[in-house]
Amino acid sequence: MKAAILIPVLTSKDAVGADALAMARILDELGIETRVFCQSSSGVQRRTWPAEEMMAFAGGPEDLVIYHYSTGWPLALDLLRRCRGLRMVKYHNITPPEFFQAYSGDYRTACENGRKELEKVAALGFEMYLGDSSYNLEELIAAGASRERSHVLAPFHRVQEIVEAEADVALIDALTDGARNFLMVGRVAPNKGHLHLVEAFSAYVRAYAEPARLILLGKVDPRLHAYTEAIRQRIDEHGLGEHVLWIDGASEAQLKAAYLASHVFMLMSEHEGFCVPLVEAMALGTPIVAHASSAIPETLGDAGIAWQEQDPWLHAASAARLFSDDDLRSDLLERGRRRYRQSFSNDVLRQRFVKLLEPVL
Amino acid sequence: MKKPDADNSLRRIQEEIRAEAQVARTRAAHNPRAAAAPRAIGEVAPARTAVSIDELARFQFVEFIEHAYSVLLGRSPDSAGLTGQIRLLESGRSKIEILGNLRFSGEGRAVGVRVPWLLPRYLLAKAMRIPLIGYAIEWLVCLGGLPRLLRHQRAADAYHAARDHVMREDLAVLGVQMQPLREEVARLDREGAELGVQMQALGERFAPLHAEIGKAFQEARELRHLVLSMNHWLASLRQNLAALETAESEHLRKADAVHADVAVRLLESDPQRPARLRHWAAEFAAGLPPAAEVLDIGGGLDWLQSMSSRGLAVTAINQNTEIGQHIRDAGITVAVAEPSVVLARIADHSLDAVTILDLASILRGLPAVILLDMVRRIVRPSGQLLFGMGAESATIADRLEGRARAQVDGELIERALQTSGFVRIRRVAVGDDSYCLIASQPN
Repeated sequence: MKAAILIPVLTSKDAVGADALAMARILDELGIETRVFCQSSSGVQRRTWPAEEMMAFAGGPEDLVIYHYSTGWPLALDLLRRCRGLRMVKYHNITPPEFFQAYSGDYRTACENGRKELEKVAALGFEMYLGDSSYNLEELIAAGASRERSHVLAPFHRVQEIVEAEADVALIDALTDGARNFLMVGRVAPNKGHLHLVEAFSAYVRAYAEPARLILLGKVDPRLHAYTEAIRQRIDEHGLGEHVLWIDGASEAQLKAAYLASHVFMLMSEHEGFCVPLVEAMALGTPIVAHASSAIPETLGDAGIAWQEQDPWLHAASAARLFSDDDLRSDLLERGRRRYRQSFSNDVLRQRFVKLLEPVL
Repeated sequence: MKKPDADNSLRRIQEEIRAEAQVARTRAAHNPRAAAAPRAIGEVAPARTAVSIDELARFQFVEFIEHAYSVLLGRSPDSAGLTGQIRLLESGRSKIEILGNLRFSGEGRAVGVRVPWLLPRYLLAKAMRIPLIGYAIEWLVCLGGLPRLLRHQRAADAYHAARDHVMREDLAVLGVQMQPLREEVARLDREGAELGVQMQALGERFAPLHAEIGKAFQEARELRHLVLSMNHWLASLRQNLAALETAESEHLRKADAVHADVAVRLLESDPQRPARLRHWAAEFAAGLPPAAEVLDIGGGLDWLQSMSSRGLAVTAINQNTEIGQHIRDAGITVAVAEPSVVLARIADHSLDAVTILDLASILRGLPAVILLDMVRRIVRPSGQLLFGMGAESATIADRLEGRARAQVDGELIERALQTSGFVRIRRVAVGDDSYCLIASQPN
C-alpha cells in the first residue's frame, strides 16, 4: 500500500499545508510509503512530486489518496476520477466569492471556480469525506456527498511548535506599556471582518477612554490592496492611526509574543471553515471575544465570549468585562486550555485520524 | 453536574455585558472621551530568521539564485537580477560572493536574515577582487587551503569514478533493454508501412462511396429544405383553418342566441304552456319513484324546472349553446351536444326516465327506431318515457332556418312504442291540441 497526499500548493505556514504535511508525517510513521504531490511548494523541507506523477505512484486498487480541497483544481478531479484505490477528501472550505466582490476580481473568480467544484467533488463518490468542521461537512453533504461516509477531523496545526518557540522578548516589552492590547491574527482578507473589528475597537476607545492598541497581525496581500486601504481609511476616520499596529509576515517568535502580550483576542470574521488562530489563542492563554459566524462557534465552544450580532458595542463591552473580571478571565482561559488539550491537540487529532484510517490499514 | 451551572453563569455574564454595552453606547454618545494613544512602537520589522551558508549553497545555478532571493530578500528574483547573478556565476564568481551581494544589499539589510559567518567570508571574497593584493590574498588562501582542496579533489575523483562505473553499468543494462525495443520499433515500422498501403487501398475503395455520400447529403439538404417549406405552408394553412373555425363558431353562437331568443318569445306567447307542462310533469312524476333520475332531451328551462319541483333529479341535453347556458345558470346539469352522441355514452339501465318535448326536431337527426332502441337500453325496468307532441323550441329553430315545419304523426309514434316493447302507453292532454305520450319499460 502506498499513500499520496494531493494538494495544489504546499507551504509550511499555511493552515492547509500544515494539515497536509502532518498527515504525510503520520502515514510515514505508520510505515506507509507516502509522497506529497502538488503543483508548487515553498518553504518546506519535505520533497514533493509533480501532481501529474501521482497515478504512477498511488493509482492502484490498494493505494490511498488524500486530496486537500481548498481551491478549484480541475487536474486533481481528473486524477481522482482515475484512481482505483481508497480516496479521501479533506475539505478546508472556500471563501464565498461575494466577500471579494468589491475588492478583487481575481480572487472572486478563483473562489467561484473553487466553489463550482464542490458538487463535482461530492459526485466523485469518495470513500471518505473529511471536513475541518461539521460546518464544512454540511456544505459537502448539501452538495451531494454521502453523510454515512462523512467525518469531522479538525486540521493538524503548528500550535505546539509556537507554544515551544522562543517569543520575541523585544516585542513583548514594546507591547507591555499599560495599554490594553486587542489582537487579531489572520491574513488581511475581506471575509476576516477587519472593518467590524475597527468599529468594535473604536467603540472601546470611545466608551472606556483607556489606552488601547489594536494589533493586526497577518499577511498583507498586495492583490487586496483596495481592502487594506479600506481598513486604513476606516482607522483614519475614527482617528485611531496611533492606536493600530500592523505586523505583516510575522515570525513564530513575533506571533507568540503578540499572543502573550495581548489582553484579548478579538475575532470578527464573517466566514471561517475552522479558524486555527482560535486554537492558538486557547493554547497560549489569550481570552477570546468573537463573532459567532460560520464555523467559529463550533471551534470556540465554551472557551470564549461569542455574539451572534455584529454589534461593536457588545464586543467592546465584552473586552472591558474581561479586563475587569479576573474570575471570568481565569475561567475562560482554563476552558480554552482544556478545550485545546481535549479536542484540538495534535495527539488527539492523530488518534482520530488513525482511527478513521483503521479500516484500510 | 458542574457544566449547567457554568453555562448559566456565562449566560448571566452575557446578559450583564449586553446591558453594559447599552450604557457604553450612551456614554460614548453623550460624553466622548478621547483615550490616550499607546506608546508608539513604529513598524515591526519583518521576521528575522537564521540560515546557514551550507543550506543556501546546496542548490545549483538558477535554483541557487532563486532560493537565495527567496530566503535573503523574501521575493523571487526580477529578470535583471536573475540575469546579472547568472552572469556572475558563469564568470566564475563564488556562491559566497553572490550570497553576500544579496544579503548586504540595501534590501537584504532591511530584511535582515542572519547568515552566520557570511560576512567574513564575503569580505574575504571581496578582498580577492582588489588588484594585485587580491591576487596575493587568493594565492595565500589557495595555498592555505591546498590540503583541503586535495582532499576534496580525491573525494571528487572517487565520487566521479563511482558514478562513471554506475553509469557504465546502467548504459550496458540500457543497451540490453534497448535491443528488443529496437526490434519492436522495426516491427512497428514494418506494420506501419503495411498499414499505409492498406489505408491507400481503402482510400481508393472509399472514394466512390464518398462521392455517393456527398450526393446523398446534397439531396438530403434539398429534401430538408422542401420539408421546411412544407412545414411553413402547413402552419399557414392551420392558422387559416383556425381563423375559419373561429368565425364559424362565432356565427353558430350568434345563431343559437337568436334561435333561443325567438323560441323563448314564441313559447311565452303560448298561454297554455305553463299549465300544460305542470300537468304533464305531475302525471309523469306520479309513475316514478322519489328522486328518480330523469334525462331530458331538448326541453326548455321551464319544463326542467317543472320536473325538478316534483322532486325529480333532472339532467339535460341541449344543442343550443345559449339555452344550455341558461339551464346551467339555473343549477341544472346539462350537456350541450348532439343527443345521439350523448345517448350512446350512457350506461345500460342507468336512468329512471327520459323526456323529449320536441320529438320532431330529435327525429330529424335520429331515426325513431334507433331513438327508441337507445331509450330502451338506458332506462331501467319499469322506467318511463315521455314524448311531447307540440310546437317546441327546436322545431322553431328548424323553421327559422328555412326548413319545413316538422310534423310528427302521434298514431305512428304510439305504434312504434308498442312495437319497440314499451307498455302502458297513454296520452296525457290538458284540453288544447298538444298532448304527450307516456310509456313504460316492462318490468
